[in-house]
Formats: sequence, C-alpha cells, structure tokens
Amino acid sequence: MKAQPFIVDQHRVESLGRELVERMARQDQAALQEFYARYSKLIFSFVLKIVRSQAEAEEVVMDVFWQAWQQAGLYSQSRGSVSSWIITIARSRAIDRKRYLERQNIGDSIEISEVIGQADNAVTDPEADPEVNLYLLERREAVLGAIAQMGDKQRQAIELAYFSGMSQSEIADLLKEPLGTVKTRMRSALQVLREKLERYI
Amino acid sequence: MKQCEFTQEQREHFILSYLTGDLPLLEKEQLESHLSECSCCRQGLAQSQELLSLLAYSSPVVSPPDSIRVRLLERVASKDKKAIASNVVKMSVSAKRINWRRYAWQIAASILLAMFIIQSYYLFDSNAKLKQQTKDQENRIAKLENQLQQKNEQIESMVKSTRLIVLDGKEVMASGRAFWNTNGNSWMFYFEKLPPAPKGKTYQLWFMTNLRPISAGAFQTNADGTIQLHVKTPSETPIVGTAVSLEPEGGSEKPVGTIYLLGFV
Ligand SMILES: [Zn+2]
Repeated sequence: MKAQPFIVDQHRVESLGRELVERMARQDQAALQEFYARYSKLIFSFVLKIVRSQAEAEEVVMDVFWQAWQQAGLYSQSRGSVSSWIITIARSRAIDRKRYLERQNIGDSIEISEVIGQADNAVTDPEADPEVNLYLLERREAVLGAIAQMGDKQRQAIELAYFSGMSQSEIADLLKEPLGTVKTRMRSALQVLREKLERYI
Repeated sequence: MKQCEFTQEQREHFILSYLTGDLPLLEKEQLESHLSECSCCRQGLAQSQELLSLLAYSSPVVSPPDSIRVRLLERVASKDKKAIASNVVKMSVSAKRINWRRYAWQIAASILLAMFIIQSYYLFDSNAKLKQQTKDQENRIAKLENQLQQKNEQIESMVKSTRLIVLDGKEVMASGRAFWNTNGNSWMFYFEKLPPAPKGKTYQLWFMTNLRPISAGAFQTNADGTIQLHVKTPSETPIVGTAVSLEPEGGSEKPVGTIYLLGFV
C-alpha cells in the first residue's frame, strides 16, 4: 500500500525550523518570536497534560522557551529534528516540575490539579505561518491515528512512560502486571508508532 | 563495518529500558559504550526518541495565554542592560538604590543560570536516581529565576512609568520630590525640612491643572520635618504641577496661604 502524499512538505517546514534555531543562536529576537509562534501552542498543550495545572504550565513553558533561546547554539542536527528538540526540553522540564510538585504535596495530591484551561481544539495558531499550522495539524492527525491503532494496554503503558515519566518497573508495580508484560506492550506500542509515523521523522 | 551483536528485538528492548530509566547503572554504562561504537544502535535510539516525541502532538490542544510570550520577550529584552541603565540615570537616589539591587540579582541569577546550562542537557529521562540530586538544585534555580524576573518586571515597569518631579520654594529650606507612577495613577511625595505648621495652620497639598488647583488633602509633618504621602491622581487632567501651601486649619478650597513648595510636571 502506498502512503498518502503529505499535505505539507514536512522537510521544508523542518528545515525552516532549523534556520530559526540557527538565527536564535545568533541572538536574533525576531527568530525567537517566530519560533514561539510556531511551537507555543503545541508545547503549552503538552506541558499542561503533564503538570495538570495552568499556572504551573505557564511557568514551565516560559522556562522551556527561555532554555531554547539560551541553548540554541548547542542544538545541532545530530540531536534530531527541531520539533523533537523542543518537545524533549519541554518534557524534561515538565516532568521535573511535576515530580517536584508531587514531593511538595505528599499526602495531599489534590492541590496540583487546578482548573485546567478549556481545550479549544484549534491546533493552529493564527499568528503562525499557515504552512506551519497545516504541518502541525497533519502531524496531530497522524499521531492520533497511530495511537488509535494501539491496543488499550499498549497505549496505557507508553503514555504512562512518556507523559508521567514512569519507568517500566514502576508501571508494572502500578498496574500489578509482570515487568515482562509491560516491556512487551511498550515495544508493541513503539512498533505501531514506527509503522505509522516513520515518515514524519 | 562491525556487525552489531544484538537482534532487532533485543535492541528495541534495551533502547526502551534505557529511555525509561530502567537500566541499572552498570548496564547503562555498558550500553553507552556500545552506542559510541555502533551506528546501528545509535540510529535506533535516535529514531525511537523521535517517534516518542511525536506523542506530544496527541495532547488536548489548549492555547497559551499571551502573557507567556510577553514575559518571554521582556526577559530577553531585559538582557539589554545598557538601554535600561541609561533610563535609570535620570532617576533619583532612591531609584538608583533599587537599580543596584537589580544588578545584584542579575549577577547572582546569571551565575546560577550558567551552572544550570552546563549541567542540563539530557535528551530523555535516562536515570531517575542521578537526576533526583540535580532536581532540587534546578528547582531552586527555577524559583530564583522566577523571583528575579518578577522583580525585574516590577522594577522595569516602575522605571518606565515613573516620572520624577522636584518641588522647591523660597520661603523655607524645605525640599520635596514626587514620583508619579503614570501607570498606577498614583503619586508618592517625599518632603524634607518642612518646619512644623504653626498653631491653627496646616499644610495642604495641591495638584494644578490648566484650569484650577485641586486639593489633595491637608497634612502635618513629622517632628523632624519629613513626611511621606501617597496620593491618587485626580480625575481632572492634565496635571501641570503640584504645590504645598500653608493654610488655615481644616484646609482651603483653593490656596490662600503662602506657597512653600512648587514643582512643575
Ligand atoms: Zn549495536
């Protein structure tokens, strides 16, 4: 079966992203603005999913883009795509923050789950380039499609690992399942991602 | 090229264990040394990281408030110290003191930030235990950075929106300074060497518009001749000046007594 053609030239958008990061490394503030317009909605949504508090998410996102601004010079293509780079910074900071909050709230875990902003379903940002908006939209559809192909237990395992930062043995404890079972599920989930999304990376 | 000793299945298992922090330290080190030699496994790892990062796109979409963008750009711009410094030189002594503190904060924070940048760049969450130690430090730094930024914002907005008006007069040696916060629409007056008002008299503070003086209230000085007053900007504008006069006890509708201090905007 032949894959459908992309709506948007993924590589072109990605290479424009690399140019933005290179300009950021040269302290170009306009590039940071464009970079922010491009990724802020994705990153905010992602961080909010991890920390589950609007106020905390705002602080983390602020720090994520600040870190990207500071470390733009360290980015090199060998580290992977620009989107994966910024997502990885966001994940690392958000999970750190989430764990910190959990330690602060030992015994009353309710406090961190403040009211979360309403999901608005508009993936795109009117400020950003229309081509970038389409790029984000297309990726989101593809990822949701891939996740829908996973079995419930595979999805659960990979989401716990990715969004909660749990190790596979922690997941096994949580679900009261053998570690081997969790590992197999994780691997199957990753295989689904590879099969469905390889062309996006 | 050297053939990799792992099967595809083995490779996928250890990559996942590596990424989720499940590998004990020794195995982790062994794997890292293997990765440095085996391009096949390196590619597998990079590809898995890319694939996993795509999961971020599945998050329910929520728009960030614009305040994040504004704060980010302010933070970036506030690095341009020179622009701000030239702004501050025009300010009074008390404003300079605040400004000094601002730089102390900045220096402290930039040292911490530098430490932070050096120690942080991990792609995935590879070893929860090792990271635990740096986390407290990171959180402390994040807190400090936030505090610094809040202070910078406060001070910057004060500096940008504050105007200094000097009041003086010929009757006595008194002097006064007014800080007009044009954003908050409030005035802070500092008067010095105002002799205590004689019995039956009171000082009165005025704002002057083009049309008429507006009373901002009567006051007495402290024993040492100083007084600090916090006053709201009157609704009638524009304000062209401010004055202090000595009036009969209870105050006057318009100044009838001697003007002791006068300053123009
Ligand atoms: Zn290998």
